[in-house]
Amino acid sequence: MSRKNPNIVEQLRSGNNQKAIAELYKAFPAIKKFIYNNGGDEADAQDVFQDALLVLYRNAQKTEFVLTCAPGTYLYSVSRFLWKDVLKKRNKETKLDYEIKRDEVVESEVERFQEQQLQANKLARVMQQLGEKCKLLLQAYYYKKMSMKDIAQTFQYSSVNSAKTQKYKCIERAKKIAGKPLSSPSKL
Amino acid sequence: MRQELKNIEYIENYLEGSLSKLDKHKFEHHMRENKEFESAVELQKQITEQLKEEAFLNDVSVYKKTFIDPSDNPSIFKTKGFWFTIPPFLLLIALLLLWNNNKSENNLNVEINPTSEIINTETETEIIDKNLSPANTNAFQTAYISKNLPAGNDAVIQLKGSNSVLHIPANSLVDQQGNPVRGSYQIQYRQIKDKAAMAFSGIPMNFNDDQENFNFSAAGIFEVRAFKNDEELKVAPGKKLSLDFEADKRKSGMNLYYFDEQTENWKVTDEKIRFPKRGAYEEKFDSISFKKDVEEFIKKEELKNNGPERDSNKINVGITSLMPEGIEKAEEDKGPDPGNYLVRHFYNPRMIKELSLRSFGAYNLSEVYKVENQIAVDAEYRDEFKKLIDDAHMLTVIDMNYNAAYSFKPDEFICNSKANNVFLLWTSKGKIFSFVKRSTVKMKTGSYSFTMEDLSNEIESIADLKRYLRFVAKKTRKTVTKIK
Repeated sequence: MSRKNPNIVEQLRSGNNQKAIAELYKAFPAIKKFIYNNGGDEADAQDVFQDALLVLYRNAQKTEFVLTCAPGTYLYSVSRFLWKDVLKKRNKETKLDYEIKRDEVVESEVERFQEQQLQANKLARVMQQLGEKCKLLLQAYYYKKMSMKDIAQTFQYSSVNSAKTQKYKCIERAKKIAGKPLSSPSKL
Repeated sequence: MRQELKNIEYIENYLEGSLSKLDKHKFEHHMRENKEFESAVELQKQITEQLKEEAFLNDVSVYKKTFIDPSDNPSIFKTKGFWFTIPPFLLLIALLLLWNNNKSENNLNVEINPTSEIINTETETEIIDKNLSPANTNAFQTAYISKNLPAGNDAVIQLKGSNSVLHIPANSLVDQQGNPVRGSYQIQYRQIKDKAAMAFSGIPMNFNDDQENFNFSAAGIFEVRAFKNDEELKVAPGKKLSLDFEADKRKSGMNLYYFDEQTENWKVTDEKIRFPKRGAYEEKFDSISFKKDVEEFIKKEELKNNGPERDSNKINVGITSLMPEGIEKAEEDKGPDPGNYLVRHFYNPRMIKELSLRSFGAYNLSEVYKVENQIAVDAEYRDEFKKLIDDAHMLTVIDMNYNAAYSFKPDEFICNSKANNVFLLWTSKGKIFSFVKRSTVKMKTGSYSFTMEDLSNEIESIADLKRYLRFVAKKTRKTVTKIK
């Protein structure tokens, strides 16, 4: 997969993720089979796969991240660690019908992901309160990488500047909801 | 902008890496000094990350619906098995294609009535297979054009209905045993240019590069074969035919594909697809005969000047009468100086020169693409009176964005859920039904019952189908999804 898609990490950074997601979904059948063989069901497979995608996506946003294997292999490897953890939480015997190959890099990435999930859950609640329009505007800029000119047109702001101001107001609002308003108004 | 908002902008510039070195240094210094500011930066970073991740997961869930079937919604995409459902059908189509060729060849004997040893003529005959099943579909087959040619001479064939030219060098054909062909032989060719002609051509429009499956969007399909005494001939080893091919569109990223009848798959050839530069070039002389005339004229003049003196008033030079039509004289009142006559030639912008064809068969000038928003559809079809159409023979899916038609077994097919599609259903009794799916009508992977419009009386030939597709294109143009 990596040979065919050397830029999957680039695609995940670019905001045009559809192609990358379609490619990454090719790894799903193998992961599903693995979950099925180890006591999980369809819903488990989809949850684990989604988390594995998020691990890859989160890493891909870091400029220093380099994918050293095929994306499918990476997702499979991450999914195994994630599933092991799920079984542990369910107080099930973690004796799987496979042995996890020692992969410290992936293991630490999965641990870090799980730590970050706590904060992510908190922020997810912030996002719920933020309001749909703010969220869409911010996602158009940060995720879809739309230019401010396009955003101004799409969201029908009178000018690029007013769209920008609205964008910063939305961030300010999110920060306030998160309970940590920017307290220092002094000029930097 | 308020100072708070300016600070947010500043933090954003820092997180996006767009601050100057000096400002970045100042920013990081301020962070070290002010823990509260540092946590404000961290929070802003986390918020933007969260926004991106939520949007990403939203995209993932959209794809999940498309690619991971809900468990109660069986999909042929679900497993690798999907792609194994296509090749057997392609095989069927390819067999149909081969069978059809053989049929054409047999008909040749009956219809052309070979006054055998025709050596110098190029008789053109359209061969139409009248026995193809299902009934009445022969009108949707592109006919082969046949020509008798002498094997010992170079042949230059201007292909009917286009500006393409096929060059067959002398003595370049051999029979199945490898013996050179002597005397006359017969060449058969056809060009399939548009969706309407592809719809029931039996030509597979899928391409597998051993790793992935793609669909074609064609700029022209050309098929050429040669026969002598019912035996199919081959291009001699080391020889090649040359094709100047007029593509239907001028576009980069196209390749020439050859249909490998052994593997039933298209193979990409190593031909470079180069369109000519736009514009015109100039040539001093277009006509050899004109040049000859001028030279003769000059010779005469010289002879005249060297010969006995004459009354110059009696000489009627008549230069203009020597000029062929379309050639302008650059300067008036001067003698016929060859260098002063220029002819402008315009390149045909869609003409690809000198494609090498090393064997007979089907060639496809095409670009490849992957179907976006793919869905798998289990289908049943009903007529306008809701009566089940139980003799469905083949379904042709035409995505109005591309120049191609894809054939499927009628009970399941794939398509772009967000495109304008035409589903043409051919029945065993030779009826044609149509269903136009506009891009605004959202479809998902699943089972559907289509109410089809019976167009059997309206569409009776490729020309009718072409008109119909033009009509659909016009009606749906406003909603055609943009081609990436």
